[in-house]
Amino acid sequence: MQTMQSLSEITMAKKGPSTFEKWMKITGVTIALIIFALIYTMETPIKMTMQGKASLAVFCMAFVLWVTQAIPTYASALVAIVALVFTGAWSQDSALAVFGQDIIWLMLSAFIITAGMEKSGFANRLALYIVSTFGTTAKKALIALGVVNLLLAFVVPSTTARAAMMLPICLMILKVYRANPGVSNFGKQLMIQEIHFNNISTSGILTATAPQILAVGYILSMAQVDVSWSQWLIASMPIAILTLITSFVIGNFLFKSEVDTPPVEQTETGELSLKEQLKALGPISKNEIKALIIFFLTIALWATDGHHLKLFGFQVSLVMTAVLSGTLFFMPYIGILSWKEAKIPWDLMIFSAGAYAVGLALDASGAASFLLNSIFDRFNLETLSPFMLYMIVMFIASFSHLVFTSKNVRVVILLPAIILLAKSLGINPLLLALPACFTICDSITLPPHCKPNLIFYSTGYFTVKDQFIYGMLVLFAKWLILGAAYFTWFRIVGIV
Amino acid sequence: MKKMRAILMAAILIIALSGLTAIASATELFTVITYDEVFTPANAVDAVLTVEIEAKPDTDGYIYIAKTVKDMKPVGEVTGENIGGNKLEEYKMGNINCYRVKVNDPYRTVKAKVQFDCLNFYNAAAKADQNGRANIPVTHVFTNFFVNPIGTYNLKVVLPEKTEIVKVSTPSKYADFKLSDENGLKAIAISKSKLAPAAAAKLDYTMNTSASIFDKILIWTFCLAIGLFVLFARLRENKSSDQK
Repeated sequence: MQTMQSLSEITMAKKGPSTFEKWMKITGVTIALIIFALIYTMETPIKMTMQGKASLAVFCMAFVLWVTQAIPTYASALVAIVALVFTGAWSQDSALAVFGQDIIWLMLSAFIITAGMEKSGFANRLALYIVSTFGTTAKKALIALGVVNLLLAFVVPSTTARAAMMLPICLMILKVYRANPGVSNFGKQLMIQEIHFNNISTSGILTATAPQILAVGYILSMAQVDVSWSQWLIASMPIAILTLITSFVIGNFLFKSEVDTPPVEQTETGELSLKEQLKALGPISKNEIKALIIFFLTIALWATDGHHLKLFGFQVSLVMTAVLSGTLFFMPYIGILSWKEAKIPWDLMIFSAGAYAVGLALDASGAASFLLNSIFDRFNLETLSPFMLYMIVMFIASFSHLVFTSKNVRVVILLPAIILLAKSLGINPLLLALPACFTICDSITLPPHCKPNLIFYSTGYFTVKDQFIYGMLVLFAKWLILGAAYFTWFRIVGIV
Repeated sequence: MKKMRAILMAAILIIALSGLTAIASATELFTVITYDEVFTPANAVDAVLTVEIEAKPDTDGYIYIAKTVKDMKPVGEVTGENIGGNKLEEYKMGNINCYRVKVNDPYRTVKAKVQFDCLNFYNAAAKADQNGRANIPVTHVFTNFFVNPIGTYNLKVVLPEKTEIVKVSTPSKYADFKLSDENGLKAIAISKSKLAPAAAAKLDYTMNTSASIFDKILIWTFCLAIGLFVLFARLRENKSSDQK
């Protein structure tokens, strides 16, 4: 019986780039450098420092290089780091220290865990089980993964942990479907949709991410309104579910799947269905048990994050949990991996470090705050109707993630500003502040905008352009959903 | 005789201590409501410091002005409400050098304004980090050496002509400082409310001249040279791959 080939051995005919993609590659470097020169040599705006201007110039240049893919992403990341330091946008120590940040170690560990799960065969068994039970077609597989994400959001209070957890399962499902990185539309949709489901489900549950809890704190202290867990769930979850459905529909439209059902295994005796392939794996092996123990230990620690001190008298952070798991996979007698088997994509790790550095420099230099304040100042907010004001504030709240890479920073800057704005205009602060909170996790458009984005981007299944277009369309749809909610759901639950 | 001497010494000691206590008591009642410092450039290196203070005088009828810059020298007269005609005098409050001026009515709040010449305020040696241009560091620290908290402390530094702020190190958060335009010159301001005794307000930034036309031409030449080189190379590759 033929065994399933590993991902690296399977080759599919690569389709060529479209004319638009060809021209983006031809002109990308030129456009990026012109934009850099334009911003870097312009007169520094009054409320910006030279450092802020430099970081904005580097950010815009890097953005064009990523989207056009005019040079490989690892090269553009290195160009960005060099440009940040030489233009004075960031110090050498800060720019290089990004490589030691928790997200890089988390990604490294996530890949080790994935490799360990893959080598043991457990990930294959789990993927076959999920696909044969819930995902017998590509669409069903996407929906099943989405539901798993939504359910996990109730239990695991971290978007990053959930992304690291889902990564090996998603990769194995794609392997079952023979979906190759960079080629498969199904792979693109699945990976980007994981980002959407991860982030947007989070917006439906108050405790699913810490910045939302911080936001509710601001509403209590500044607007004297206490938003409970259930009130948040009731108000936000319908918006989240509608947005997820919209994401699914848009994804199907943008990336028409090349597979409907998983390819069947050809053997000497005939074709094997998925259930038969699952049965053919036989009983769970010793390596699978080892991988299972390490994986469940990881999930348990992530799920109880925040309660470790109470339970064990000892706190284990999210990232150290991942590093510990990765370490265990390499240990003799406990683990099952050698270094070469870990298959760390160092080019994508370098990209992650560079992209993250660009985003952090934009925050640290004040350029991000400057841009946000400039947008607010453009509108004559006092003359607007409550609905128009609401729509503008929701737009800014959602799309401000394009310049702010940190959810916490967005909350700290935006929430107080929104509450004070509402008070100064004589509007109920809850009308603007609470729906704005539901957009905190809308950082789904570019890889450096949040850690789950980087984790899924590192698989190589989609490009920056793919994520950007898909994400922008979904967020625009969500903005319209929030607009409709102003006249419907939010009136029913009492926000308006 | 010995007894008399002892009594006399004790009396002198008591009087001296009472005197010190009296001074301490007097300054304890000096309360600053607002203290504003504004540095404006006199030329490329020197600044004029304008101090505006609103305060409740001490029981002796004095208000005090901090000496925050080395070699600052008063210029002109002190003006304001409840202050007219009185001169600024140098004073030592414990170990701290400062200025003080007598007010007309010690039971009324005073609003005073005085200017000082601060030579070489902007004249620091340019320093380069590990990479990049050498920039001029400017640091100003105001320490509240008064006995009571200062209600609000405001500092504004206006930069000399054709100079820009490169980076603000302290305060580190963008929201904690304000950048503005003062008659075409760049300015930076910080504000601290309820500045406790012995607490300090610090402004630390680097500045440099704006990029010259030559610098801009150099950057554009560099970017266009590389950009056009890559564009033409890619067009050639595209043409040859189309021909294949």
